[in-house]
Amino acid sequence: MFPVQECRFRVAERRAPIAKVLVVDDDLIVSEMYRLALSRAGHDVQVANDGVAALESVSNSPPDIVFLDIRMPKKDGMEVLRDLAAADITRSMPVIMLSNYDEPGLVRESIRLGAKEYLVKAGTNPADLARLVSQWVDAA
Amino acid sequence: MTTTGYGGQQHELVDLAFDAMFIRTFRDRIITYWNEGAERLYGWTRKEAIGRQPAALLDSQYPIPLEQIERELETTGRWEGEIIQRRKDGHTITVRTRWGLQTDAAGEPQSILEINSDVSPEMHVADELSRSEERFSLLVSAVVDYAIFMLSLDGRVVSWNEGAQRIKGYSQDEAIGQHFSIFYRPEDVANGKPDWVLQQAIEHGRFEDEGWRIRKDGSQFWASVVVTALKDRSGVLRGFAKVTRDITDRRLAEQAREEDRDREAAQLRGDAERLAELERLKTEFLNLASHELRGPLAVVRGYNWMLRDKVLTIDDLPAITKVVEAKLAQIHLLVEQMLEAARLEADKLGLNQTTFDLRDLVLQQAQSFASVSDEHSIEVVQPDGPVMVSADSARVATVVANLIDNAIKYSPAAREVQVRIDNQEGYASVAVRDFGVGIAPEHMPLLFKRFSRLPTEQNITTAGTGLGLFLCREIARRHGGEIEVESSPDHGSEFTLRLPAVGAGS
Repeated sequence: MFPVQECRFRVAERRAPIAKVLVVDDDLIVSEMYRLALSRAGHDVQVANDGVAALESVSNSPPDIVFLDIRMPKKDGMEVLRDLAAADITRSMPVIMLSNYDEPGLVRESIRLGAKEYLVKAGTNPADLARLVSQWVDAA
Repeated sequence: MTTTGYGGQQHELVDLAFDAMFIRTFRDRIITYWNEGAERLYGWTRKEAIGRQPAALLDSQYPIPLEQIERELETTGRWEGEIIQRRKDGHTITVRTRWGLQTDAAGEPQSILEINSDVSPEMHVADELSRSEERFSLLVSAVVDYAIFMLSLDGRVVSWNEGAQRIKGYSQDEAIGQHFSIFYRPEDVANGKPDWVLQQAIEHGRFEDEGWRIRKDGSQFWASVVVTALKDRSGVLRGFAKVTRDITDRRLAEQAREEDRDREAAQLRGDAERLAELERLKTEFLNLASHELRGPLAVVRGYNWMLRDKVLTIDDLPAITKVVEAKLAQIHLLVEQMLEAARLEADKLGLNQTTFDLRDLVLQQAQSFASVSDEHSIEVVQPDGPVMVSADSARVATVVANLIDNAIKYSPAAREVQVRIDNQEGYASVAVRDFGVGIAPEHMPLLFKRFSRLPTEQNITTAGTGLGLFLCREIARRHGGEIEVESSPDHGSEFTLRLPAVGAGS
């Protein structure tokens, strides 16, 4: 028989492991909002504001999960996704699309290229990002 | 007739007379004279008749006994009546006869002169026919609305009527004998149309046509023509009948109607195209507006959720509320732009005109931007005296705000925005100058177009509907003003709003 107090501690806290998250969005205000939400959830967040910077960040400091916008300068999200899917190192990296476009063609193409989910920003609670991190990073 | 009788000229004259005339002796009734008319009427020649008795030749039947007639003749010298006689070919004819008695110096009857004319029913018919022919001819000739005339086998005019003269301009004398190709235009004659028309009539019995014909004076008229091939009882072609009507008026009316129809069709096509274009614009508009709203909405909703779920702390609030306010202002602007554009489209842009000093309005706008943007400084240069305009102040404020906002948006690296108010040549002006990215020459045509955003890298990130400058120009123009732009890539742009000035300007 364990002391009652010990049991309480053991049940009380179950925290997700800290993940390395890359948030990619050209809108500074949007990327900052997601960064804030994810870091308040306890994760280590990197931000990139265009496709080229995104790929650089992936290679310099490989994240556990990527949240990827589509409309960006220099290289758009679909191209980044294609590049990630093409390389062995990054193929299995979970990518979640985060866009305000919702054309069925884009959704299909992203899933086909290996994205795990496709979210529309205007309908997404930033807290959902942390939930997705738990879901996909644990699974890996 | 004189008693000297039948010699010389008188004889010849009698001979020429149309009626049948013969002379026979009184007592033994021997024919002593027989004229051409008698030859024609009875069929017996002179040679055959002279020396014979009329009874033998003519088998005359009298209404009263011959002796009675001869006695009357002796008394009065004359007799008239209708008798039946027979011609050489056996035909009986009814004859109107007048007898005159010739006597000698002593008054003794010598001979009888008979003057006869055929009044047989067949003759009646023939007469009737010729009279009805006459009536018909009268009818045809008198008809004025139709040209009715006949052509010979080789196409020459052989008859003419009033209508033909009226319609074609030629008198009867001028027309008869002419070939009917004179009624056709030179190009038709060159193509062989007249002969072809006759050929068609021969092949099909008749031919109908509508086309241009020429009058005597060279003017043209639109004709409705029927040509009929005339064949006799044995089927031999004898000539052609032509009936022509001038339907120029009808044709002109038809053409006018056709033109009206074509015009209407073109208008309807134009309307259909405009409608299709409007539909397209509407769809584009909805797409664009909806999409552009998602951006700021994501931020407002996101931070609101984070506020509700206590992810945000009190210390976050100043910065966050500022961001949320900016995003809501963006949504607001978008909504206002959409409404303005809709009003413009429905032509319901009611301008609320008041007279005000442009300087006040510009200063107000410049100040509101200064409080929001830390990185840019907005410098306003204005003349000393008032710059009065009569305009919709709310809308002019929108324009000025839009220009300043663009200046800030498109000069991210540079810090200065200059606003200069001026008053020249009857126009008040507000010029907004930035020292930012500028506009490429090839992009100039797109600048004021509705929904059109310049295809630059910056514009991938920078929010905008493409409505802003379009609306600004429309508002300026509705006031009788204009918006002009001067720009140079990497050196910045200057947008100038001009409005008609009122009252005393400096």
